[in-house]
Amino acid sequence: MSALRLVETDIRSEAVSVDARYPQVIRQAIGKLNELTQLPDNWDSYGGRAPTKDALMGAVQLAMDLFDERTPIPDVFPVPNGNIQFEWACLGLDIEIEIESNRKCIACFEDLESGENWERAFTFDLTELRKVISELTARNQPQNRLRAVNA
Amino acid sequence: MTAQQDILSFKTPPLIEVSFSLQFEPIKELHIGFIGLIWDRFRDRYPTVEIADELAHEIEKFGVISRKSQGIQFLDRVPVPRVLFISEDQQYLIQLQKDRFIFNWRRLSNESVTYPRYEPLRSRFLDELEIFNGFLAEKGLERVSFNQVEFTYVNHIDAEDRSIQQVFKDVIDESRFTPSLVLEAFSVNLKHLIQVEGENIGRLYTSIEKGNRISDGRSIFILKFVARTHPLESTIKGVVASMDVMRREINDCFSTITTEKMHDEWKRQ
Repeated sequence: MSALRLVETDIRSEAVSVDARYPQVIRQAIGKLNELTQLPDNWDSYGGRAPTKDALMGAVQLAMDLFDERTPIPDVFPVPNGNIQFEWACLGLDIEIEIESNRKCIACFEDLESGENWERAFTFDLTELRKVISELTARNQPQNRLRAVNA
Repeated sequence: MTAQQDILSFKTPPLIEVSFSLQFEPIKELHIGFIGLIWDRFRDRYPTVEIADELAHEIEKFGVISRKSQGIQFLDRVPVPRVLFISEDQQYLIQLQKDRFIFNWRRLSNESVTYPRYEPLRSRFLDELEIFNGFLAEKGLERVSFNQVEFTYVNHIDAEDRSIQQVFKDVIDESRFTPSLVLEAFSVNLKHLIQVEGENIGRLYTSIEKGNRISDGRSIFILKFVARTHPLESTIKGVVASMDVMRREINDCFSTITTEKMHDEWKRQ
């Protein structure tokens, strides 16, 4: 059976499972991704490709690169081309990230409050993507959630 | 002054290992059968083969949360080995896996072995890489698309009769501690961003530790540099340019953190 796990990558030591060390949002995202490892080809009856290993591993890595304890848990979807999508539509923000691999993803962002929106491809510099996830995380704080609801 | 003239050079440097590693997009068709055929191209000069665990695909990212090194594995995945082709004198290694080509020079226990110097090593590395690339082209396999260049320098500095501050500048002054405290071990880790024209292109990891040499148990300082960058271009020319940038950064860092007294001892040229 296929499954994903986080491991230490110290090349001089044996791999060790370290799942418990990571924030719950990361562990939950991995749980969802694990479910997607079971999808066969044609999972959507329209010829959709099963999620690729590159996309699954890229999605886990992206979660570790961007999510902290307070980041809302994203919806995780398979994309018919074998990629994985993280999606949030909450707290006045729409964010979609389509992950091809650990080396490439495409993000769409819209702030419903300010009207700012963009679509961008990312490779190794995730600074702008981190900013929008940080904004999402900041809006998820209890004091800010009240403001978001009342706005 | 040219770039070459700036480089710090010693007649007897404390280097014991140098490694050039090229990482590329995984060549999916590069199965174990092809690895055997590749060895045939190197076998006359690298007659010994060893197998090791596959190295993780490492990408230096910027703007992300810094977490302890981690990776992801598929539990059901059949491990794809890393193979090591080793020269008869054990000094040179080629390491190969589906997304890496690594070339190492190392000094084992033989103190009389001299460091071959950067340019000859780089030249030999590029020659071996050309053989690998030629094989891929001949067999109709994917052309490599480089995504990371890594450069490692490991130095062993005898610490039997030396204090830390005799070897390293501004690290720790052992004499400030009371005589009843004798320093037994210490570890320093530095992580620098490498920038070219203000753009982040990679990182330099520097570590200093005190330990014991396996061969004779002598107390040593282990000074290790690992530089990893995105190639300036995904071509051999870009790789060479990146290697030269990393070499310069490592050289400058070495010069900055070691003392003039040690430079003299290593016979600065």
